[in-house]
Amino acid sequence: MIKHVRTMLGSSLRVLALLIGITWLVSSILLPAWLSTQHLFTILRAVSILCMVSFGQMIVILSGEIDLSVGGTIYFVTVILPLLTRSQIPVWAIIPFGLILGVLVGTVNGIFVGKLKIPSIVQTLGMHLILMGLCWLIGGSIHRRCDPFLITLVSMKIGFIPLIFFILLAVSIFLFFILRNSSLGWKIRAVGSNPEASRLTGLNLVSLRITIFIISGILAGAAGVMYLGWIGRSAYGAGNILVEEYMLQSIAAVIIGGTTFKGGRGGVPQTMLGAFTLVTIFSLLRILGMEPRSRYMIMGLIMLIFVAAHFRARRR
Amino acid sequence: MKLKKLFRISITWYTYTLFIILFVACSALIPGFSSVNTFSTILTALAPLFLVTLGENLVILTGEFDLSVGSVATLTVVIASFLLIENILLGILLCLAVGVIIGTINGFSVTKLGVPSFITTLGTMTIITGLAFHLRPVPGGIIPQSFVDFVKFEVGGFRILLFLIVLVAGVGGWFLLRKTDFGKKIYAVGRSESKSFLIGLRATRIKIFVFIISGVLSAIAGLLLSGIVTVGTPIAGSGLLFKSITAVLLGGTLISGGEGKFEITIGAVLLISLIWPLLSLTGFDPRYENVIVGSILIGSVVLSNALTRKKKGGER
Repeated sequence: MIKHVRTMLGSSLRVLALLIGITWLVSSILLPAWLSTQHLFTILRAVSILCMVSFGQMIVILSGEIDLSVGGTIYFVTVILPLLTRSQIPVWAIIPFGLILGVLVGTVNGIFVGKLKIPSIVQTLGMHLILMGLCWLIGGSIHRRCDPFLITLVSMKIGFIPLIFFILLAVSIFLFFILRNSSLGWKIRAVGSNPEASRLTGLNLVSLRITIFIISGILAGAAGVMYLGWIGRSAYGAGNILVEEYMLQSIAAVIIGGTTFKGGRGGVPQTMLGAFTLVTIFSLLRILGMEPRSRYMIMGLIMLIFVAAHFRARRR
Repeated sequence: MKLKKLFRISITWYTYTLFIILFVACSALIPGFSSVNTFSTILTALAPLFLVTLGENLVILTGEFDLSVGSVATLTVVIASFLLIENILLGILLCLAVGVIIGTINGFSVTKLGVPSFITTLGTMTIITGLAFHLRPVPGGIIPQSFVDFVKFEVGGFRILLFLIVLVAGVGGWFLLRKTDFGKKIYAVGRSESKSFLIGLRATRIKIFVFIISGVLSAIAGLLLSGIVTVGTPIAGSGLLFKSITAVLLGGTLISGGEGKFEITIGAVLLISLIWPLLSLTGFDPRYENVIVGSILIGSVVLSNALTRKKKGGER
């Protein structure tokens, strides 16, 4: 019996998929609203935004680094963009500007980590603090409305599938092939599994790390734009999620998906599964009436259990 | 000649030099800065941070990371707001037990399960924060007046107990790291785990012990905090983690472990605890603190990287 459990833990992802399948089955039987169009739409929208951030985080983690500044980046975007709307800048210019902000943050992170050899934990943590501080100073506590077109764009749906989910699918297919088939993908995995060896084979680690952090920055910026369209105004915490917590959630999604810090394990589908797991559990707990931030107990527990399982599986 | 010696000493003890310069400048420029009241304010903010930083410093010296320190302090505040009113002594013991338990879990997961400390403590941090919010969604509960009076015990407006605790922790940390076998073992494990294994050190045991120390110190910091804020709030220890990491790195401790002096970290804690009163007294928005702490965090590592590279270059 124990052996059986162990081999199952070895393929912990299959267990995860199974558990999520059972959760969906049980909750769709017990909860009448679970399979309603509105609920499915809500879940897919949350998945789209979380996946966006998590993909960036995954690429950073695959390369053996970490990006703690994604939450700060999202907050930064949601604070800056409504300011632009107020000064009459058209929406087609605002959305790219959100991405540019992400690129900016990513570039700074990349240069400090790649060129100046600052450990990414320290760099991105510092960046997070700076961004949060800046947001408060610019007026993060003031709720400024964003462009109405952005709100309609994010709440647009086809059937029960939100428009942004299709954007996410396009991004995920793109990233999937980048990681699988391009030389960039191979480089990312190589650096993650052995930075010293990959440096000796002639990889330019500086430019690679800058690229990686820029990708993470862009995706966080995109998530910020989507989040803003969802909430409708600049806000520190709204809906069920505090902006800052995207940092924790993205790391959790990546880790639950089985991506580890060394050796290039994991990928796009795994991370999507991880994000889907988190969103499902959070939605379930919300329906069961748990306080938003208390749910982090459960998230942390799941994260630790799966991390332990993944690491045991790898040791074998 | 003497001047040169003084210069060299002030470079070695740079955090104290900076602290003294800043302090003298403030006393001269800001009217009302050098009053007993200000000292008391600084000391009150300093004491919990000091304990947390000592624990964090020990953990970083072994080459690991403890992200759960701030949340342990928060949880202790929340638990204290339930228990201290029932029975002070038992409540204190239980709070300390919480620190021991969390430290043990962290240490066990890092050493026995092989999960990187960063992920482990991120997970426990998430769980603990969620738990604190679950127990006290809104600030509440009562800290008994006798305990508050005990923590804030004053002689002529000067909080003597907090001062004593800081003194004991400072001397104790210095003594532990410099004068005991255990301190030397911590450095050895941090420099090279495989080499310390060859000379017969049990890195596993040492690391678990260090995590437990960090947990207990955070719990004590939480107890002090509960006496200071006098109410059970789930955000009591929110800034502690970032500031403690910043202090440790500003104090010149290498993030990879094995190198650093606790004496200098003490100066760094003093320096950081000066930021808040400085900002509020000069009429700046105190929320600049985050931006400043973040910049110091990144800047200190940039500097230490540059210095070590220069030193290595000289040796070659």
